[in-house]
Amino acid sequence: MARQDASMKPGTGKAGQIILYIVLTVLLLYTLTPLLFLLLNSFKSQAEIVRNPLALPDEWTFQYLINAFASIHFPQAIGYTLLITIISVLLIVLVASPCGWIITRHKSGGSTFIYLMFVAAMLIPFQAVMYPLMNIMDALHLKNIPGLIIMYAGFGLSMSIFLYSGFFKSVPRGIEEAALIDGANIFQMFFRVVFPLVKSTTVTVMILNGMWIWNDYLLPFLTLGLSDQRTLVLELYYAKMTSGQFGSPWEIIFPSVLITVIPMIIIFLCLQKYFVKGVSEGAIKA
Amino acid sequence: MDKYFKRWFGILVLPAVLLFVLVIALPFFTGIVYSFTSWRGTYFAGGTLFQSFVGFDNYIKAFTTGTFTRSLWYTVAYTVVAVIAINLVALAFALMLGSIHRGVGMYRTVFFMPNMLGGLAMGYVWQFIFQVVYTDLIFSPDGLLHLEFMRYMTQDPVKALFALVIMTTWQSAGYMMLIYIGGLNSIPSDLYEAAAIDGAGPVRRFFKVTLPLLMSSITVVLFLTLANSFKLLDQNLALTNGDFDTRMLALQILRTTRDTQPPNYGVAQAQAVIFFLIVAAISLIQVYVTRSREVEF
Amino acid sequence: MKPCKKALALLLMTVLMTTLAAGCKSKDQNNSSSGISDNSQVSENSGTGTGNNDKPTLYIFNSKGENANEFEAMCKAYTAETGVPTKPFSVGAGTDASEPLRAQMNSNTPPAIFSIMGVKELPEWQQSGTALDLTTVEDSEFKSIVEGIPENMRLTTDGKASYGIPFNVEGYGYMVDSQMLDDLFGANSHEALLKDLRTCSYEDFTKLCEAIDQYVATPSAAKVTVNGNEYTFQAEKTGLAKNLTGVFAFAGSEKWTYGDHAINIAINTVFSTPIEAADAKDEQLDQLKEPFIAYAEMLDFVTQHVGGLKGHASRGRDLINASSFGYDQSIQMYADSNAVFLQQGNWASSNVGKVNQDVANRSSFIPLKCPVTDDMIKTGKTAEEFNSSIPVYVPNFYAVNAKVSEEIQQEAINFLKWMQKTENVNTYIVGMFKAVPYNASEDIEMEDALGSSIMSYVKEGRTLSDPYNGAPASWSSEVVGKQLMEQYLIKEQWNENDYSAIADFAISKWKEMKNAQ
Repeated sequence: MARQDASMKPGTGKAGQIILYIVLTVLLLYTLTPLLFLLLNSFKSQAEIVRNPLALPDEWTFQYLINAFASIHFPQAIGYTLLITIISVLLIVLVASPCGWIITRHKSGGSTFIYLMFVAAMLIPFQAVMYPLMNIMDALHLKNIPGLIIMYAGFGLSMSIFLYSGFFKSVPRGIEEAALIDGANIFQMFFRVVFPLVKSTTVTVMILNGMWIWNDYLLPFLTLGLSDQRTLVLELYYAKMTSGQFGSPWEIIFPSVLITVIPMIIIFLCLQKYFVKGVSEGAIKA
Repeated sequence: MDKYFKRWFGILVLPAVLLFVLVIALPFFTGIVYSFTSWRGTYFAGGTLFQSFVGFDNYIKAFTTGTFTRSLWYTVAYTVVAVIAINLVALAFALMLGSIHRGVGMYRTVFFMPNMLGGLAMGYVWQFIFQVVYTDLIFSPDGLLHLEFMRYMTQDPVKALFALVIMTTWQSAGYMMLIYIGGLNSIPSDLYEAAAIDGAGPVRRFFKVTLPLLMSSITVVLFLTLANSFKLLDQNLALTNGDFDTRMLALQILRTTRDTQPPNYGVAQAQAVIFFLIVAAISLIQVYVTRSREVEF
Repeated sequence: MKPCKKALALLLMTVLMTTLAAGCKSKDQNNSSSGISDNSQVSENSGTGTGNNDKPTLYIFNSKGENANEFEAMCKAYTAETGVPTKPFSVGAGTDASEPLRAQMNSNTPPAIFSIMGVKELPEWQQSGTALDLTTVEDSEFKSIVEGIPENMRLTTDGKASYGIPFNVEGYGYMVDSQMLDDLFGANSHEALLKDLRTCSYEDFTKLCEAIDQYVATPSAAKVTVNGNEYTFQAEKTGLAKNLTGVFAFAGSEKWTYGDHAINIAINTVFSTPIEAADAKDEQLDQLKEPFIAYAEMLDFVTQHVGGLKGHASRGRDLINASSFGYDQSIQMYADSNAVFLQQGNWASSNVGKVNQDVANRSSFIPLKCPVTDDMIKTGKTAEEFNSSIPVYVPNFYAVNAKVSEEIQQEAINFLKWMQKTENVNTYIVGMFKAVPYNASEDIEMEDALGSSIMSYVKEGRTLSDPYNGAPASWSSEVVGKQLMEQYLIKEQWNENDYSAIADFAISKWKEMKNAQ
């Protein structure tokens, strides 16, 4: 982040700073409360959660986390989730970036139409396509992981093309001409010259789609729900389902949610720089 | 150059268009056709697709049964409040973080974090928070601050609307904050200097320099929050499950198939089409209006 | 950043390794502990619909998710015995199951056997021609099974066709722990008291409840009369009685407990089966006025004597908070002896057992008591019979898909025949599913205490039916239950006008929804 000269920032008197820090810290604690709640209840038995959701655990035992780890088949589930998320995100980037690029470079009725088509698709509620989509996928024998990836790619495209085309508008055309003169073909031109320039958008696209796919429930439920290959979120659903018709096995649900959240948080903490840069810069150019 | 791009246009666009047609366009138009039939999910009442054609009946039913229009207004009300709240909070976060010197990274990280967590799971956590923490601890008569409005928030349409706003603001303000931080950083600092020389105070500087130059960020944030608010489902399901007249549009469509037996998927589909038209209209108007106000620099 | 990248790489590596390891392991041991995720009795090419020995795979849709593992074990045993490959799908119970079932029906591999949740769900599958009329099957052994289904358990709309084989029967009432009764009224008093509670009147029951409530507040050696027999409280609170905070454990946020089940007692006064209720005439619905008032009175009484997690509870906004009066909380309170009675069915046995298996083993049912009178009941029963019977009904049926090939239909029929063999009923339905078979013989041994309590009512013929399932879809819990929760359970005081308003609301909505369909 570019640091501005402190004197230029509004309200930066000493008292102002202290007040700001107090306000921010209160907000910080408030933001953390639900996570703290989740953490706390991941160490408690069903009875403790039901009776005293706010109290500290009677004893700090990893038993519930270990049980949850086993009952949601964590190793397999995270494997499937990673596989689906990574391939879908790569596919989205690979398809959306050239498309977003070419529709900003070639201005015509066709390109405007395609652009508007994708923007409009961002607004289609999933419920509007859900049932017919499942029929189509079934007819094509695609109610499986490859099919799921195709669907994610299809749904993720709109937003990604929207973001890419916004960014490409701000990339000067001169570079492409230079590359063309150097004798590069279109793919070389795109992937060697143009694509590296939109790294921050690519990161945004990956983050946005990655988070959505990781946490998505409905699509995997409809496609993989009845197969043996389950994502983390699906496993959570099954953990609830097998505990009786009406009850909720909180002593499995809370630690399971915690377990599913931890990889996300680690990834975020490590790649925070890119997240921040990607989201703020990617969006600003759109 | 233009000719060169034209030559390759089709090839580069093709994969995206194919995916689009398969996953969105085809099902979407099929869905529109179905919305004019008495579709029951696994069959068409009355025989084939053509025999079950009912004209605009499903659309009329959607508007006359009451639950749909009620959920439509509820969604609109929620969207208005949520868009304002998320934008204000996100902007306030961004401005505050822009004004402090140390620990920016930590605050930014924590504010952003909730955004990565799934809506459904966190919805259940929030349910406990509203029903136990808010009701019995913080806002109870012997709590920190007795505020009847903040108690039993999941049991009243108006309160639940704010409960939903609190939860979604918690979840997405951090993300929107990052967009605003990016916007603020891209404002050239000499503009502030010039304004300061002209004798503009901080408030004036905010309204005359910051806000106009932030318009493009505001457009993006508005667009994102508007679309997300209108399509909200997970949080609605987890917090109130539509009880106390708190069904929003997405949940209404999902529940329509349970309201009757046999399930009336035709009506559900008609509602989804109306839903799309509304979201599309609002978003396009909004993008158009804010775009025209943006300041180029 | 550097150490962080390393950490990330490490994380990825670990995940990759564990995934690989797990993958190998599950291949090795094929189908043991990892539960429902192994459907390995189907060969690799199951997607094409054919199994290892060229017999078509039998796809089965089971909508009782909590049985997933046991159901699969049963299918495996069938495959082992007959060589017919099976592929069971288990999905969570309730309305959650219908969406996946429809998706399955639309797929390339529609299930040959699927579940229908009673008369409520029948029209959909009847209209689409998916449900096979089992009376048309030419198979003498199967015919005798279909004909043997008791008339009030048939899945039918006209009384002639029959579309399903019952999964099991379920029943509900007030659960009560015998040890609790002993601790309240002295050792070994439970046998006599339980007997009296099974048949006593609404008035006797309410007097007992009031006395218990009084005792919870200020224990004394008070006397109370049930069914003419006198019982004396222990002077001091002993044993489980020390935990009591109220009389009833109540799940105020679960609309179905009072919206479906409690009101069903009142509906039984006019309709004796769901089919009759589905056919309701306006005059019949008007006859429900008095019974519904009685129902409101009963609910009023119950909700005034509710125990909470932290002390006696009263009607109010707290009572409908899912975090304090949800299903799990009500089970917890009952199993922890915070309350004497819990209105639930035998399906809750495993939930209670998870909290405290001893309580589950000591529990049995007494009927829900409702202040109905002889003249309110149009079905020929007496008020006394009403207050000594519990609703027992079939929640779910196995149906055969009429749209799959004849050959597979026959396989489906063979499977159902196999399932209904006495030894298989005993091994799977009774032994593994812990369910009460619909055709249970007199001498059946139920391991599950609540299940055998249901059986005892069935043997005596003291049962009511589930006509609420014949009411228009979503009327009972989503309309009436919702109204009660949102408007009444939060109100401290109810009066006669409220009773009457509840009854009128329920009747007018039924009429309105019946005509809208």
